[in-house]
Amino acid sequence: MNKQEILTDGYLAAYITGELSPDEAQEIETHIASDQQIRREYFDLQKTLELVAFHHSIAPSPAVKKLVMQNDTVIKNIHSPGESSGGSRYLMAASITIALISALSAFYFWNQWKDTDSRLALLTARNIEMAESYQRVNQELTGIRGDLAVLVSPEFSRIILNGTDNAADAKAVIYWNPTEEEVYLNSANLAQLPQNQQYQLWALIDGVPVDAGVFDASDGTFQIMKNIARADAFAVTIEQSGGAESPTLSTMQVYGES
Amino acid sequence: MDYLYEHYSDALYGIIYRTLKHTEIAEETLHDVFIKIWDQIESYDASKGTLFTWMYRIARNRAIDARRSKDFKTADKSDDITGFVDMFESSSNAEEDYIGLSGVLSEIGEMCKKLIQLNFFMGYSHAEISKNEDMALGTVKTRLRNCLKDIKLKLSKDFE
Repeated sequence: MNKQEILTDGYLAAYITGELSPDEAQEIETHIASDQQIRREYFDLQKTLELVAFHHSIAPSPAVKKLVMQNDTVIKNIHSPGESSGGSRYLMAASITIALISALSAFYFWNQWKDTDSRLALLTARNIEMAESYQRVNQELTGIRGDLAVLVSPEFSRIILNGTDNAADAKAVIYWNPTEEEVYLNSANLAQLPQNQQYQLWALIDGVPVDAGVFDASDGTFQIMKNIARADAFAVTIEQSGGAESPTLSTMQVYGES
Repeated sequence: MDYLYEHYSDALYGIIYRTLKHTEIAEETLHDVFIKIWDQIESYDASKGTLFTWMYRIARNRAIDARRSKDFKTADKSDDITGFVDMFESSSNAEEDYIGLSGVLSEIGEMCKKLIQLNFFMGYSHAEISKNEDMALGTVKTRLRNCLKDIKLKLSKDFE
């Protein structure tokens, strides 16, 4: 699977629900770790699902909580071995006393332990939440650094695509490095499209359009498009989701010469 | 543990209950899920997803296992996609709708609601949904993805 497929074919949702084969899951994990756009999409999906799940929560009976809190092998240990083998009354009384004392102290320590345990759990959970938000900020920072590197690099030329008659207010910016064939796109000034449509970027080489990838309008950072080594101009059209073989010129939104 | 339970049990129970539709078995499953969460919390890896996703996956799998188990089938329950009730219709039981999610969810279209509910809340796989809804497997996947994306776009201000 390639990046485009991961973003459009529902692999991330299937990864969240655990429906992928181990091989596929492994592949997705690699992409999540290495690709900022995929990671962002994955994070957003998780957040969406979490919101919907919380919104549709159901309260279980309080008895379940009680059982969960009591389910610990430790509880078994409270019943200490206090059996007597029927010896003298004195021995029996002594053993009962010992059993009582040990049961009481076990209970005391168990209580102490439980207290500590719940505090530890609270801290663990908070810690995890902190780590999560730290990681998110960190990821965003990495993304912004990457964008900045493109902006300041002398290798990249900046091409403004201006709105055509179809969309006079539209604008897009391309950063293009012909040597490395890298194309970055900022689509913040394009309108959102209905679900069944996507934007498609074309590179014009001697008047022939070459597909440079489909995308959705998004604010924020750059989108990485397909590699292009040579182009006289770039243009964006509106196509059905997934893109088209050749551009529908009547829908051209923005255009700019390199 | 107290914190984890207080914070997440209702959301997870919503998923487990909708998968099983049987109060007793669902509560038993929730119990097992929290024991497992507690047992394995050290193995949670934040780089692979959020804490909720991790717990969600445990809950979903447990519930599916319970549905497939013998006990469940002898309890006269079927594991087919039957008795589908639109949960978005009736069960908006969150106390505060502070992000306007209700409004957004009522806008997303019947097919979206059904797919999200079957896949995320009732534990049916893409393949099972594809068969039941008479829809190509690829279509199920793409539609689900578009539906989620739609919700996200409508809520997008909350993500910023």
